[in-house]
Amino acid sequence: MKIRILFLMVPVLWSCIHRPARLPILGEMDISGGDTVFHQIPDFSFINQYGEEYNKDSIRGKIYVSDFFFTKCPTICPKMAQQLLRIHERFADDPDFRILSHSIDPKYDTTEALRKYAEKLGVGQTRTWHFLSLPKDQINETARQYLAAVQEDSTAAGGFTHTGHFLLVDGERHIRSFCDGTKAEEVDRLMKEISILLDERRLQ
Amino acid sequence: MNAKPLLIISLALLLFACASGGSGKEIAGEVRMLHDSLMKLHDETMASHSSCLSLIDELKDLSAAAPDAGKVQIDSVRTELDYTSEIMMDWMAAYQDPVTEDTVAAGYLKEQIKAVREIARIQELNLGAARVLLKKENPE
Repeated sequence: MKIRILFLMVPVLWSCIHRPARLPILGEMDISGGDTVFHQIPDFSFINQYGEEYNKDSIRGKIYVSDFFFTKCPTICPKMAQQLLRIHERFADDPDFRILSHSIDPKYDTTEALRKYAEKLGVGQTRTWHFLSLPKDQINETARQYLAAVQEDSTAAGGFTHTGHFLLVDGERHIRSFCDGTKAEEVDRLMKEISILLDERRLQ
Repeated sequence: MNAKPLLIISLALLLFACASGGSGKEIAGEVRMLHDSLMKLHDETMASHSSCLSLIDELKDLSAAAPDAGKVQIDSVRTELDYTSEIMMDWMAAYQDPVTEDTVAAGYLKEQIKAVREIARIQELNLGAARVLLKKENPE
């Protein structure tokens, strides 16, 4: 009997010791009524490459990677797209995962242009990766919401239009991590963190 | 049969081929160098692009709070800044990476470098005007 209990205890102890590190919540935080209120991405509503409205309900409970780009960018955006393709390839079949690429060029990145861009990347039929067109008057505020956390933790030289950051957001729309989306080794780390968040979500 | 003329012709052809090959390589090198310079310039100019967008928002707020007499000047600077952010995007939409490495490509890239330098100049001018209105210091 003792041996059986011992055998049962081993996996429990093992899982306690090897529990993946919990990712911190990034960004500003407030104390309200004794509770800590963490920075949260506010409600949004944009149009995706299929001409559909994509909003807070579309992303409810999902873990997602967010970035800012524009289809005509000749330098860093193609590098970012290659790295996002790696992320897409690895997590596209996970129903709890999404990628939201926010275009900051409403003049040229129409729904049609975004659809063609997705096709060119070979993800023309994806339901995981959404290319969102931001109205001009919402670009700055949206980027500020996402990158407030990054700017606290790093020197985001160049402002949001050309930093190449990927943000990792959890099901409660809290930013949990970020990386330089032009560097494969940083994206490798982010992919491990996506797995941690997905595991965290399944345990909830 | 006298082999001398044939040898001379062959040597001349060989020399010509070597000379044209070298010149082709030089042009290809120049095209790559111009392309790198253009992309570097583009990245530097884009680094200030998001400042345009955030200052546009700040000028909007400033205009809303300003008396009617002051609004005109603020709105005019805002319009110029808006134009600045558009012309960089317009340039990128029109730009085509050269597919050849010849004198035509080199000429095209030189023109593009001139164009982006001009955009950068206009951008700095308009950012400066906006910062004066908003009483902000230049970050550099």
